[in-house]
Amino acid sequence: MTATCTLTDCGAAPDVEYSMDDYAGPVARWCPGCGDHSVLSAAQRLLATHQMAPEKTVFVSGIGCSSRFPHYLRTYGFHGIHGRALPISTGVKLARPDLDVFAVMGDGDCCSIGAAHWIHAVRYNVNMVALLLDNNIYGLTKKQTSPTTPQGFPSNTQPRGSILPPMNPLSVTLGVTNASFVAQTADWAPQHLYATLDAAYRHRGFAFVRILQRCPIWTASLFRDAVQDPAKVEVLVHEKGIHDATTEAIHTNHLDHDPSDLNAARALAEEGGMRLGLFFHDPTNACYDETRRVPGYTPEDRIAILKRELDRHAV
Amino acid sequence: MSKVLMKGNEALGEAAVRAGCVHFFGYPITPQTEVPEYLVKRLREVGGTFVQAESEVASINMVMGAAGMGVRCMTSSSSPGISLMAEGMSYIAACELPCVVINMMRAGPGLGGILPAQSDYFQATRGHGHGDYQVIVLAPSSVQEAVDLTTLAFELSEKYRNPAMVCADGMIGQMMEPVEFPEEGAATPMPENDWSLGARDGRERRIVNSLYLSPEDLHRHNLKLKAKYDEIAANETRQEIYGTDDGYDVLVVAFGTMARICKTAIDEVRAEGLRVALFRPITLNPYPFGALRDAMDAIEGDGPVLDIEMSMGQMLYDVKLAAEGSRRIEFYGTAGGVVPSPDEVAEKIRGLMQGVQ
Ligand SMILES: Cc1ncc(C[n+]2csc(CCOP(=O)(O)OP(=O)(O)O)c2C)c(N)n1
Ligand code: SF4
Ligand SMILES: [Mg+2]
Repeated sequence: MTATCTLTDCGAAPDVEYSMDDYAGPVARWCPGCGDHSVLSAAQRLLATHQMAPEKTVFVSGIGCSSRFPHYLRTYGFHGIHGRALPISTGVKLARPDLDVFAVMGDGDCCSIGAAHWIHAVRYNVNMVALLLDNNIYGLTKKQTSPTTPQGFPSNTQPRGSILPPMNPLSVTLGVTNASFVAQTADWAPQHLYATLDAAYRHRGFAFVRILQRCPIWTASLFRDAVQDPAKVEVLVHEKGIHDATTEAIHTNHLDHDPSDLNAARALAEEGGMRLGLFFHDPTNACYDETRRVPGYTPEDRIAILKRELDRHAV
Repeated sequence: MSKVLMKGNEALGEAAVRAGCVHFFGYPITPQTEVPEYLVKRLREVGGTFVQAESEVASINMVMGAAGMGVRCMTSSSSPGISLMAEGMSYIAACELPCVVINMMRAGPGLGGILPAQSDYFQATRGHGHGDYQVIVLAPSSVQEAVDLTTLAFELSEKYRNPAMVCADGMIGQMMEPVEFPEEGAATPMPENDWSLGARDGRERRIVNSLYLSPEDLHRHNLKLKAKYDEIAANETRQEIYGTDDGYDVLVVAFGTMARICKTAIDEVRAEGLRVALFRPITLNPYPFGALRDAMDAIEGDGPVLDIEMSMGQMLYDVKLAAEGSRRIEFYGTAGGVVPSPDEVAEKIRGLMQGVQ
C-alpha cells in the first residue's frame, strides 16, 4: 500500500487492506526446496487473512537457517540469540501485550540449547505462537546431530549414526504442566500447514506447532517416503481439531482424536509416527501475560497509593 | 616425525590428542566446528570420548566434571559460545581444576559474523566470568604455533590447576600449513594427585568446592589464587621480538593473526629503509609487560608504539599499562571480520614514520 499525503487528505484508506505482498520481505535465501519457504508462504497468508498490521506483529527467532525467518517478512522482527527465542518473545509479549508475537525456532535452537526455556515457556502459557521448524539436523552449521535426529542417522559429529533415540518434541511439550495447544504439521502439506497456523493463532495461550521440515541438503532422505507416499502420513480428525478437506482427501489415513483429552494426546504423541493434526487444546489455561498484567492506574489511584504508603511511615 | 599439511582446526585437535587429552565436550559453532569433527574420529582411536553437549553451558560443566576426576579434558568454541561458558570458567578456576578451552574468535558483538577477529581479548584476559580469577591465555599466529601452544596449554593448566585458553581466530583455524607434532603416546598420564575425586581404596574423602561462607576463609582462598597468578606471571610470559637487529624507531605491537600480517608489512617497510620492529605477545595472560616495556625503552629517540588489532582497541590497554605514560601510543584497528592487508599496515607505518624522521 502506498499513501500519498495531500493538504486535504492524509492518504490512508479508512479500511486498510493488506495483501500478501504487503508482508513479503526480501527474497528468501534458503536453499531451493527447503521446507522453510513453504512455512514462510503459510505465514504470509495467515498475516493477510487476519489483516495483522505489520507494525503490530513481531516475529522473533533464535539462530539457525530457520531463524532467518523475520528477515523475509515485512512485519517487525527480532533475530535473537541461539536458543533464546522463547524468553525474548516472553519479554516482548509481557512488555507489549497488544502485539501479535510469533517465535520461530530450529530443532537445535528449541530442543537442545534452548530446551530449558522451552519447558518454562509452556508453563508460562504466554499468548503467542511458537513454531518449531524441525529438519532433524543442525542446518546452518552444516550437519551436526540434533536432539530430533533419528537414531542411526549419520552426521558430522556422530558419523556412525545418531547414538540416542530422538527426542519427541510433542511428548515433551505435552508433558509440561500448563500445556494448552500442541499440534504437528508438515511443510509439504501446505493446506494443513496453513490451517494449523490459523488454529494456533486463534488459540489464546502458548500455541506450540512442530512443523516437519525438509532439508534437501543434509536430511533429504528423512521425509522422502512420507512426501512421496501420502499413505505414510496419518491425519488426526475431530470436530474440535484442525480440519482441512484437501489434506484429508490426499491422506486417507485418518485417526479420530479428541484434542481435549490430554491422556489420549500423550499416548498418541508417544506412539510417534507421521501424524499431522491437533494433539491437544485447552483454551481455559491462564496466560502469564494476563495474570501478570499490572493494572493501569489513574493519577487518582496513584495518589491514593502514595498516600497509603506515606501513612505507613507517619510518626 | 616429519611434517604434514593440515588445517589449523584439525591440527589443534591432533595436538590435543598428542597431549594426552581423552575427553572432549562441545557444541557446534562456526568457525571451529572442524575441531570437534576431527576429534570425534580421533578420540575413538585412543580410547577417549567425544560428546556433543546440548549447549556450551553444558559443555563447560561436563568439562568441570571430567576435570574433577583428574583426567585431561577440553572444550572448544567460538566467541558467542565462550560467552556462555563464563560461569563455568569462574567455578573451574575457583575449584582449581585443570582444563583447556579453545576460542576460535569470530567477529562480535552479538551474533556478529563468522570472520576472524580479536575482539575477545578483554573477555579472555580479564577472566570473563565473575570473581577474582584469571585464565592462562595463549595466542598462536601460525598453525604450528597453534599445535605447540595447545600442548603448552595442557601442561600449564595442570601445573597450575587452572583453565588455560588457546585464543586464535578463524584465519588460523581455516588455513592449511605444514606442521610437526610431538610423538604420539609421548604424553605422560596425569600424575596421581591430592585434589581429584574418584573412589580409591583408603583415600581420604575429598570435595570439589568453591563455596566459602566465612569471609576469612574466602579471603584466604583468594590470596592463595592471587599468589598462584603472581607465580604464573613471573614464570610463564612468552613473546617474540622481530626486526630489532639494527635498532628501530617505531615499535609495532600485535598478536596472533594480526602479528603475522604485521611481520610481512614490516619486511616491506624495512626494505624501504624504515627501521620498524614488532613485539608479539604469545601469552596474552600473563601479559609480558616487562619484556614489552624493555622493547619500548629500546626504541631510538622518542619514536612511538603502534598497537594494531582486529578489534576496536582492547590489548591497547595493556600496551598503555606497559608504557606507563613513557611513550606515545598509536592505535590502528579493524572490526567485523575485516582483516587488514600487509599493504594497509605498511601504509599506516609509513604515515606514522613521517612524523618521526
Ligand atoms: C551460543 C551459540 N552456540 C552455537 C551457535 C552456532 N549455531 C548457529 S545455528 C546452530 C544450530 C542450527 O540448527 P537448528 O537450530 O536446528 O536450525 P536449522 O539451521 O536447522 O534451521 C548452531 C549450533 C551459536 N550461534 N550460538
Ligand atoms: S541447509 Fe537445509 S535447512 Fe538450511 S536452508 Fe538449506 S535446505 Fe534449508
Ligand atoms: Mg534444524
